[in-house]
Amino acid sequence: MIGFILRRMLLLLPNLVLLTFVMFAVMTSWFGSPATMMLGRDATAEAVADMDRRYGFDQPVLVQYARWIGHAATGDFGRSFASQQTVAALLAPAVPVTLELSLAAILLAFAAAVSVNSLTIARRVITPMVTAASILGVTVPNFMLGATLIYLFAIRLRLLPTTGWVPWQQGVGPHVLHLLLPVITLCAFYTSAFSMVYRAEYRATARLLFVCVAQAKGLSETRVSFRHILPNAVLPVITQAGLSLGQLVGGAVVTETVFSIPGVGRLLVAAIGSSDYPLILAITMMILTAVALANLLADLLYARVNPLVRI
Amino acid sequence: MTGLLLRRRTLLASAAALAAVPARADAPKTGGTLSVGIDDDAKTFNPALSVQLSERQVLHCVYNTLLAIDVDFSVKPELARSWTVEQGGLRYVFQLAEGVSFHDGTPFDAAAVKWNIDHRLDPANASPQRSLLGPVIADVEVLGPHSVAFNLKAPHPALLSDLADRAGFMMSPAGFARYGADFGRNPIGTGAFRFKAWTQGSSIALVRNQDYWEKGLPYLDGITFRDIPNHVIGLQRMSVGEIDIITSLSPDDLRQIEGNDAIATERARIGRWYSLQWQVDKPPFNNPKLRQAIAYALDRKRINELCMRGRAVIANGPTPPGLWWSSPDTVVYDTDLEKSRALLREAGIAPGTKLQLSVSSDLVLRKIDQLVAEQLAEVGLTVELQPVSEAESYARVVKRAINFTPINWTQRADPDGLLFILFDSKGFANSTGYSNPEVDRRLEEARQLLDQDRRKALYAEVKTLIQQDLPYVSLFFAAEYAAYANSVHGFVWPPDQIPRYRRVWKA
Repeated sequence: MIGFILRRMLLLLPNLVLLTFVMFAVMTSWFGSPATMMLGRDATAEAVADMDRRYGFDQPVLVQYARWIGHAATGDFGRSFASQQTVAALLAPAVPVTLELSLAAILLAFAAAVSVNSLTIARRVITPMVTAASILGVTVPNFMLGATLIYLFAIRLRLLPTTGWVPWQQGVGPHVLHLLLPVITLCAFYTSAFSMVYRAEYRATARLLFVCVAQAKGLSETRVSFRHILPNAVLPVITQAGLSLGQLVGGAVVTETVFSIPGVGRLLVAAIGSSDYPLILAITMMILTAVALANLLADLLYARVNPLVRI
Repeated sequence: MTGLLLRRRTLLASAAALAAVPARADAPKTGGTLSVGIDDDAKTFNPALSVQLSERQVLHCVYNTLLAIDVDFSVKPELARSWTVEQGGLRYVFQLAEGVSFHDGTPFDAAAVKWNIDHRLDPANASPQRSLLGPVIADVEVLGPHSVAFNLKAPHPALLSDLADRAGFMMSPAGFARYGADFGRNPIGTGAFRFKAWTQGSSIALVRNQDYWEKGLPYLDGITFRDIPNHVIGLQRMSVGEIDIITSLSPDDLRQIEGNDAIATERARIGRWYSLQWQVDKPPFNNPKLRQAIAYALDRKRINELCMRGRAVIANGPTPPGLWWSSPDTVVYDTDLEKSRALLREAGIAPGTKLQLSVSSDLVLRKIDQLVAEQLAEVGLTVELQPVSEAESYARVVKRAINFTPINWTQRADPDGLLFILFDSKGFANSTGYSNPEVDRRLEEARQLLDQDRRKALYAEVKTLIQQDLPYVSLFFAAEYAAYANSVHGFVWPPDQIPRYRRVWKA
């Protein structure tokens, strides 16, 4: 088990190096030196050249990359070009925000997809409605849904705050209220996606013999649904949830921007806007590591739920 | 009955008059927190490193500048209460306000001024302002606790307006010694508001400086700058009362709040200059006839209608009306398709010739691009639009990787600020490759003159020359707006378009 985890983590390393190198090469060739960005419109050629020397932007890509990865290996991701703050200091407050948002969204999506479908799949009338809602959830883009929800719940009905972020420390109530719309926006897609996977699996499981036996024993539909079909049909959803974490980061970028949430996604958008390589690279590495960890976690969970996998 | 009614009316009126005496409608009220909607792309609140425009309005709250800009772009005292120009413009002596201290309790004095300028001039601090101050300032001399002299390398009248902008923000030397590279997150100035908290990408909170040196100011207890992803959401938040004020709105943005009595709008006195630029030293635009042909082919009135709802001022040069160096239009390119086609024939440009115009993600610039493409098609030129990200656009212009692009510039408090950098052959923002010795001579003479009338005459000649040479095709001076809730009073919007909140109060 520990060997399995270690092997997976070791595989992550070459991936990280490859990805960051490709990004480094692409960014330096396409963006060029970030000095102009840093100095703004009042940059003189002399000041740009000076900045290039100071930060080593004038050196070959390989040299720049080697220096960067050398520091990164020791956990030093440097300072943001744009703000001169350490990357760690910028990421520290942003990571918990995105984690909270993403975990809340994925858990809610998982719970909603599994419970709603388990409850309704047998009821013919509701089924088409759930299917329609799922298709809508998958197809409506994040930013569109976010803006619509803001308009409906914050502007028209005035039930919730429009956008913004209130930390826990400033009050649990306002914190949760500010979190509601972004979480719903972010989880809509996943609820629908999980829903589709779960329904297919549920249908297949429902045809199996043991379900017939359970029904023949006269068990209630809810009991058959939750106690007998659910544990067997839920596995692919767990895998999907693990795989989704990578996409979730993409969703968080959009959602955090629409709702002005100070998370990693918003930070990444700002970093790209100012060619802030150290920040872009650190965030990319973090996302890749998070995805790898999530996949690993999904595999472990899978094994826990279904002992067959462990063999 | 009537008598009674009358009496009651009189009574009510006199009661209202009595109540009104202590609190006149125009008497500022103290207290309240102002909520400002901004696009928070702020990176640092260290003024020596600041580049983003969104940072500037926060800086004006936390810091004071040595001098200030008035609503007509004239320079007025701030931390420097008076000044004299000596040695034919080579030496400026400033008398500083007394009894001023930084938020950390350390005193603001002549030594602090010297430290601030030296800090920006030191290459180790990588301040973008070094390129501005370096060629101008020889040294800063402390004459007494509240008296300081700037010795210049050459006369430079624009120094005063530079000291009313980023280079003039006075930060606490002790504060910088304490925080170093983290000073940008812990800014300490002498300003009307102290820095409280910054949730990057979400909000910036400031609180009143109880010991502020301008007595009675500020009126507000605090200011919260809230990030808005775009103006549509920002104005929606304003309509539900979450945000009090938003600036830099376009005429199109206003549609959303037209007819809303709870929101007032104010137009910026001087709008940004929008133009098209190209490289005049490289084909195809090194052909002056092609440049003129394009200038005649454009219908700037229609561009104004579609980009600015017709509210912009058509531009025939880089300087808008209403500034001290504004001059009458001498060379005007009114739409004339026949003339344009004739010029193209003379230039030997075949119909169907392809031109590449860069298109960024900025909404107004994108609209301009589409209209330019459409209008140039009328005279037989094919414009291909080349996408470039908004963030990278200017960097690529400077690197001369983009030949033909729409662009905008804000006006500076001194004509030298914009005209020299764009049109002098040695100007650092001269990305067109434009070089005309006649223009250079006038710009270089004007930047060292103290006589304003002489300067104005020289800048008028420069305007005529550049309109003839066309390193840029002027399009319009934009219509830009601020919108604020009716409860907001005392809002001041100088022509540099950076809002000041010191005198703002909420009813």
